[in-house]
Amino acid sequence: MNKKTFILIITLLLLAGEASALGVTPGKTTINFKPGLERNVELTVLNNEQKDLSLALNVEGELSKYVTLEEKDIRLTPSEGSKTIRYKVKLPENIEKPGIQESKIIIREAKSVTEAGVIVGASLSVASILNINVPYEGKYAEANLFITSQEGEAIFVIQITNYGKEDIEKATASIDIFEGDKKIITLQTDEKPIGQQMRKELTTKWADTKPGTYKAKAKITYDGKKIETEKEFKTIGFLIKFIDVAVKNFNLGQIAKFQILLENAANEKAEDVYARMTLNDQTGRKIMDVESQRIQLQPQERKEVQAYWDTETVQKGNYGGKAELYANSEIWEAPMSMEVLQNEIKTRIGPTAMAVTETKTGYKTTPLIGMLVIALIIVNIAWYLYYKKKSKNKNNNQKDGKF
Amino acid sequence: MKTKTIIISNIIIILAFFILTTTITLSPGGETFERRPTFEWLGMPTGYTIMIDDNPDFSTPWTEKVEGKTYTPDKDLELGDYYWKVKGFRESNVQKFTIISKVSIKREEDEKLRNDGNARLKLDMQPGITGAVTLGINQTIKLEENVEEVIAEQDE
Repeated sequence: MNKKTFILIITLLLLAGEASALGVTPGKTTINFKPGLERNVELTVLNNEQKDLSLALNVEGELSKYVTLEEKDIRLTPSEGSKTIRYKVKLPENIEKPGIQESKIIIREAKSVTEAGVIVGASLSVASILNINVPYEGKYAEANLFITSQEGEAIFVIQITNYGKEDIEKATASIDIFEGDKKIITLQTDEKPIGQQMRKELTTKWADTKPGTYKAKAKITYDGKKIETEKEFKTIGFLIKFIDVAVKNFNLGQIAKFQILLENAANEKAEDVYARMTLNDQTGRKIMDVESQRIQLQPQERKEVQAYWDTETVQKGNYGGKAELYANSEIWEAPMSMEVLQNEIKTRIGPTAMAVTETKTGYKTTPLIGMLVIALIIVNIAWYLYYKKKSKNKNNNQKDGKF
Repeated sequence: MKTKTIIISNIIIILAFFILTTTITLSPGGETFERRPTFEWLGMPTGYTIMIDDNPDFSTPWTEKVEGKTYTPDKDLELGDYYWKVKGFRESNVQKFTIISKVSIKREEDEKLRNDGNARLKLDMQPGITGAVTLGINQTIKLEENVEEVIAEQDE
């Protein structure tokens, strides 16, 4: 083995287990074009692994000739976790092509070369993007549609950016909601003016949504121009609903037959649908845990299922527990209460079923105002008593002839 | 004198009440790399609604009800500028913060590359297919033997 080969092997072995890292922040800078604009931009090069780094900088891209780097080579020592570099952007009076013009400031790690001239491993480089946003002639906007869904409601936000040279006086949008090919509702957003290079958001809500998959087609109009965009979305909510829970011909001590009417409120088929109900007594002991049979439900279909409860050891009274619905391997649950009488069972399901069920975040503003009022009353009573006592003492002293 | 003392004591109580019910936002403010920053504020031990928006007018806020005086989102926020405030008994001041991108790539053992930053990356491998590989935050990729240079840039 000659000396060169030995050094190469040693170098390869050393580099194989060595970690290195390179970073830059910010990863993107956007500048809106203005004729003759000059701007200094700072970047921070990150030496996360605290290594000795020799780096070469250069600019690539459509508008690179308008970018001047302050330094083209930098070195970071192991004690330097980061280093600030600067570049200057000097834009011309006019750029013909409108839209976003991208350039990159590339920071390159020097290649590891052995004495024998062999390049070892891939070199790492990071780029910080410089976007010059050149406005379009006249009025020009681009739009993005965002949809967020929560229980029983979908919120539509259309983000519009004015990339034109002129202000937009009025932007608005209508959104058609489709279930399959059938249009089910049209929503209208608010109206807003949008200045040059500005971004605004138009919003609207769709209330009382049923769970399912829908398509939104948005038509955005701004000062006589149109943009269309569409998106598929899912509304949140459990597919299955309790419509009714009834127990007929009940006698305490016997087996109670629950007739549970379920509905598939969604626009998709529900598989493996069943209900489960559990009840506890005042001590927390479980006194009921029943399940219905399993069924399938087509969209909008209603079907009755049954569950049976042996009440041999059950006493008359009010009990709390929970009702659960299962479908498509998902679960929905709600508090449930039951009033068990001699010949009747009254069932309530939902947030109002149990007095003990509270909302997660209860605002304690009323007690605070109450505390203020009480504090004021106490202070004023204290003053009243103080002055009354003082006046009484004064009168007594006068009667005793001290004055 | 009597009336004056009573009025002053009442004013002191009302002022103390307003001071105690004031909510002040603490952090985040300024610039951060954290995509799920922890929001902290000062105020009475009561329930709050936190509002986060990329518009200073809070026209499309992300709202969340919170019991304590801190909140950490359960999903990443987009890069960019944000405004936030909390509403308890009274509404807090508005605080601005910016999530700035950090493009960072780390070479690990066995020629694996890790996205060590806070933004999704697009990797250009030379020689190879330009921009064909995207790397999520904290994801890794095994480098092919013939790759001589990897250029990482922000892809969001």
